[in-house]
Amino acid sequence: MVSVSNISMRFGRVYALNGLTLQTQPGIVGLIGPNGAGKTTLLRILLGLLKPTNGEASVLGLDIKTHSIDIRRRIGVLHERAYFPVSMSTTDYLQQMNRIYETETPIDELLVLVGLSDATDRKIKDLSAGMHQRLGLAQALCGDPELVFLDEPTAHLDVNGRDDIVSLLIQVHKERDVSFLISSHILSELERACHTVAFVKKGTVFDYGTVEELVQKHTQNRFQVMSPNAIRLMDILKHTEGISDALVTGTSSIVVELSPKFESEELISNIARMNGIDIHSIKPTGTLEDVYRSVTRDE
Amino acid sequence: MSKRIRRAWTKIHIELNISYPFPTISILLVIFIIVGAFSVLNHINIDAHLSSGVTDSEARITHLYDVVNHKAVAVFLASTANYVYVFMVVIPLLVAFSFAQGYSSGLIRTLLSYPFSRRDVLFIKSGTVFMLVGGSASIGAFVNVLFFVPIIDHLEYFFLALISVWALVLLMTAVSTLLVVITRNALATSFGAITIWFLAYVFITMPDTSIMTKILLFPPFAVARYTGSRDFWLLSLFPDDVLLMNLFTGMLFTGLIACALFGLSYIIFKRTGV
Repeated sequence: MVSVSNISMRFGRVYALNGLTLQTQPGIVGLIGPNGAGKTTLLRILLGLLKPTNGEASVLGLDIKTHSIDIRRRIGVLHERAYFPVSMSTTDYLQQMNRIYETETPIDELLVLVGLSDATDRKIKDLSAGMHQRLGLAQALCGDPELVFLDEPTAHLDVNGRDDIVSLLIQVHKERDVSFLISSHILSELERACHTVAFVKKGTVFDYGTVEELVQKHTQNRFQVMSPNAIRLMDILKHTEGISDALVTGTSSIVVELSPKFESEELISNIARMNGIDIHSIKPTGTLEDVYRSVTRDE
Repeated sequence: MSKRIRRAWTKIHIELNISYPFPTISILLVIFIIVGAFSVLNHINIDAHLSSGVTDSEARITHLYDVVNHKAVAVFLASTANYVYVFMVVIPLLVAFSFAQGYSSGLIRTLLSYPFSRRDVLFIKSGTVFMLVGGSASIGAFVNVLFFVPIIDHLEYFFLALISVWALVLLMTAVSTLLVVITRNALATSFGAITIWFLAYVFITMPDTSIMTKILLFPPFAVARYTGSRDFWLLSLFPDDVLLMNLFTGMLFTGLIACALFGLSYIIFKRTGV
């Protein structure tokens, strides 16, 4: 779907991308990484909004330098700060989108799909933040795209709004076979939706694989510890040799990461026992957020 | 061909909806009608011309015809010359808020994510300002001489004045567009363009400024002078014997410079990231 080879992008003396290489397969692909890692810059280069300093890239087999408009005709885009003509109604707006892409996507079906069937004649300025994102997704689907770029699609939404959008993405992918390339900071939603994830760090792809592969690779020494004195245990563990990370995840739970040379959770049990702290359970844990913490901790 | 026209109309329609929500266009038209009406009111004292001792009724009708015809031309030329001051403020502001502000609001990025080329975006944005201002000014001027139109002899003056208005609007839009792609900032564009045209206005009042430069920068003043109008002190800056050839040459250069500025704007817009 997307093929990026040794792309670099320099702003003045700063490299936003530094020899980034990435090959994605059809499906839902996530781009994760800290602020300034280069995720949005990569999306803008793929869209032809920025010209890379070096390197080559193609989208749907088309070179971004020579076929930018052809690419944009075959993909959909929802930017983080999408701009809508607020004086238009949702239906009028989507009809205009159809004309731009020269398609005849049924607007009614599209509005039902994104959950805006009750807002067909409403002005865009009267829509809520969640409805704006749904409308943004509808406009991205107007051209009957094979691939959709989403830049922080749930950044300004509450938990329910985020869940709805993620469910919608999965539904659209299954029903219409549309692939997505999603840049997001909300890792829990990427974990739910994405088939593969690319971890972007300092302008390069640090790692790429399925969510399971990344979690397995980067969180193998991570354990969730349930204890009535979890906070005290964490304070003790933080100053213990062999513990590389410890953080609170609830009133009675902490997550502890052992240094590579200490691969057994017995170290935690022993320390707790020596300090008279009861432990209810210790079990391996790993989420995309844990991967993120593990990978970015060294910066 | 029809497909291309339909595609262009879709782009213009979207641009009008995005950048000119109701009642922006109506207000623009009203401004030009009001400024034009000021010109009418300034020339309405027909009675003074009729009290010139003509007693014979046939001669009086002929005289009335001459006076009204002269007034119609004067009203039209005065309104097109007055519009220059409106253009100096309105065009930079329109270009700034419909185009430059799009950089900060995400509009330009959104438009360039659709299958629009950069040339499309630049020329639809600038072209819409050009058409709206030029069109509103033309309609405003016509509305104010509407009742005179059936008896106008010197139609060529009207067309000449209209050409000069459109040439100036083109040049002013081109200057503002160049500032947009350089600064990418609405405030810098509007203040920059207004300042440039204020300085240009001062420049043409200087004694050493050549007649061709004056025509090139402000063709409506030159046309008003060519037709013999002396309604503005500024027109006295132009010599009595402005030649039609000079007018056309000056306006041709106005258009050519505008096209060159648009070309330069396109090159800069194409090379810069969004």
